[in-house]
Amino acid sequence: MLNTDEILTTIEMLHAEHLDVRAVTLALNVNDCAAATADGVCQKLLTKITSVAGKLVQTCDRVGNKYGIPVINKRIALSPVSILLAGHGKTAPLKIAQALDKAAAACGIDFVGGFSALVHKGITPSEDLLIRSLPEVLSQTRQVCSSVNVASRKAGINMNAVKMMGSIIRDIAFATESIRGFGCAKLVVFANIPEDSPFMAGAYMGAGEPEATINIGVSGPGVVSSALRRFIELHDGNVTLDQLAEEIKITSFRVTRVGELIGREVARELGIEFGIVDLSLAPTPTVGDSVGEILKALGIEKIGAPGSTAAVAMLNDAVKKGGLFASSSVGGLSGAFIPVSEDSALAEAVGKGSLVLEKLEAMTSVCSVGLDMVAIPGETRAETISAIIADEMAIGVINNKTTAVRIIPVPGAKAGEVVDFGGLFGSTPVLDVRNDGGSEAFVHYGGRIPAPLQSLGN
Amino acid sequence: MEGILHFPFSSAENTAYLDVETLPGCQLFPRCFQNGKYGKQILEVLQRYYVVHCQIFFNSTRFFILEAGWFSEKGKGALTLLLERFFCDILEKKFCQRGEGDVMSRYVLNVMSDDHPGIIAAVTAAVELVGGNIESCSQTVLGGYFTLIMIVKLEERLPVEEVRRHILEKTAAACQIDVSVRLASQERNEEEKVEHFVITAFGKDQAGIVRRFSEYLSDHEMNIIDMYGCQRVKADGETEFLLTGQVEIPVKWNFTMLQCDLESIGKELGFTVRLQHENIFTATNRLRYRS
Repeated sequence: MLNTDEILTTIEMLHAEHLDVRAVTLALNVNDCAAATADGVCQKLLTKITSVAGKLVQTCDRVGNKYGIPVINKRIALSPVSILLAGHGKTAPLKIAQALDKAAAACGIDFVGGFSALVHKGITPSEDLLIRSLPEVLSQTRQVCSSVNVASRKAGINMNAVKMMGSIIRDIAFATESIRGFGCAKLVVFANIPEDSPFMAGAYMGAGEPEATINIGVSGPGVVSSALRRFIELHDGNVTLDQLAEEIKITSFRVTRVGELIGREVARELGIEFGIVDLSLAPTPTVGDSVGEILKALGIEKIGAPGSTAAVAMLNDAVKKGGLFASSSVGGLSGAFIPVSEDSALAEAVGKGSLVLEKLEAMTSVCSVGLDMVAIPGETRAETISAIIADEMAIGVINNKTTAVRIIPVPGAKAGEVVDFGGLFGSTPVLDVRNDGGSEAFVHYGGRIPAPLQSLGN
Repeated sequence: MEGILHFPFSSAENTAYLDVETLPGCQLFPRCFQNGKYGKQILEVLQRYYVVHCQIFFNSTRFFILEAGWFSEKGKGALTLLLERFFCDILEKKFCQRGEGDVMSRYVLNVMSDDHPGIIAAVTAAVELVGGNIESCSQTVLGGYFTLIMIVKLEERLPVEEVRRHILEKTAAACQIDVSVRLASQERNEEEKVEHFVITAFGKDQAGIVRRFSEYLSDHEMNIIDMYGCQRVKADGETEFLLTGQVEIPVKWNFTMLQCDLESIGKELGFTVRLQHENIFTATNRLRYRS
């Protein structure tokens, strides 16, 4: 029998505080869709995806209704398409991507991830093919998402790949100039990419995974910031940081349990193995659904001011502790996201000038994503973009964590100009990139930054 | 209760032999021990109390002997208690299966009174005096009023009115209570499959809220197993009525239709109403939950 307190706390969390299941992602192995011709691959992909994922959307909706918690996004993540491209020619990537678009539309889902390449040690011909096709693919398809892993703890940083990605990203931006470079929002460059993340654009299915799994991403920044505010009010502001951390931890537990419950039931109804719960706090532009608001509740009034890094570190850690206890299979990125355009408080801080690129980079060293949904001036040089990526990769490799860069050069925009990507992608002022061009020779050297000492773990 | 338990302990040093005379024609004991049902449990307890070894064997179809050696008096005491309990359990089940005796002497007692210390003590003493054993009970206090419901088994069958009179007499000194008594029927066999849901309703207080919702629920054969309602002051100073109920809903009902109906009743009354599966509440509040 439930007691009234339990009922009321849960109701409050669900209905007053924007709690939802942010993403249910069906990860699917498509290596068996290899074929002698690109058209053959396309046909097999279409058949396999629609047969396995055909019921995903309605199952998610049914389970969501049963519990009164909406499943916002239903997605699919595939094993790396670069594998399917082996042996094919330069018309293949676009054909395959268009087939993926068709499959996504047929299943009623909004994004397909896995148009990916793992190049942390070196680039194979099919991976080279995939990466070079990105400007065309990301400008001519709507739902395909891509990720490229250019660094890992064991391999170090592939600076050749980093150099390449800098100019590819610029090319994608200009290929999607009409939508303000938005094509770049569908590409993430990673260090230590997780094999089971449910979040786009970086979701793909790793090599060690089974044939198909259901991975869940729960949201919840609104829940956490409301819980904090209530706690602070209850104690008239006489609270300490460890008490606040405890409150975040408990809230994160509840939020993760929601994801676990819904995810396992969806997996059971579809007859697919349950994978992981990603306990990341993933914000949306909706007011109140912001990680930046949590930082404000923690006392960082101007996000980007000194103390921001410490606050994010505390938040990230508390979220992980609470979520870990709630679920037996935690994975993905699992931490706090700081995507600038998707978080209204962060975007506002950029607009006011309190949050700059350099401080964002510092904050990424203690949270779970990286430079995410960051808009930069369109004229930024490719080498500088590569250098920004290199910095982020170094943080990931040296600290043995996942870091990523999802950066959007906005053609024709200067620092300070606001760009609106629409919907869940939000809007943000363009960030200033200082010292543009100040490290070109470093990038031009190419080669590899060797694996760090930490890689020798035996 | 028929059947006799002997515990003729002949203690030579720290060893005891137990003779148990079974019921005539009772096949229960051999079966239980043959498939190890109680044997395993007994062994677990024995291990906790430092019992050295234990053997259970039959010397005939009617007797069995338990031989155990232990190091402490505590072990011996625990073993005695345990065996008593297990055998009573077996015998009681045997009776319930036969459908005699017990069923006729089970009663439901309902007690209501102003709340103050001493009521439970007085009532349970009265029950014991009339030869009763409390099988289960549930008690709560609401708005300064005490209420208690219990299932009691009496040694002998008594008229309901006599039981009631007896309880009132024996508690008169300690408290002023209202008592009602009735015969308890056998446990209902739950034929219909149900799922547990939680209804919550918040809104401006007015007469008839509980009635409206409970009428709808009963109309659709939804059983309310727990309900709580109260007035509370919201953050903005306004008073609202809050009703939460845990209900059993037969699986035959389309849950979405029920939600719509309840929401529209809510709208009529100016209430926010939600119907949600209980799993979401147990998952977010308990350490373990059914998945």
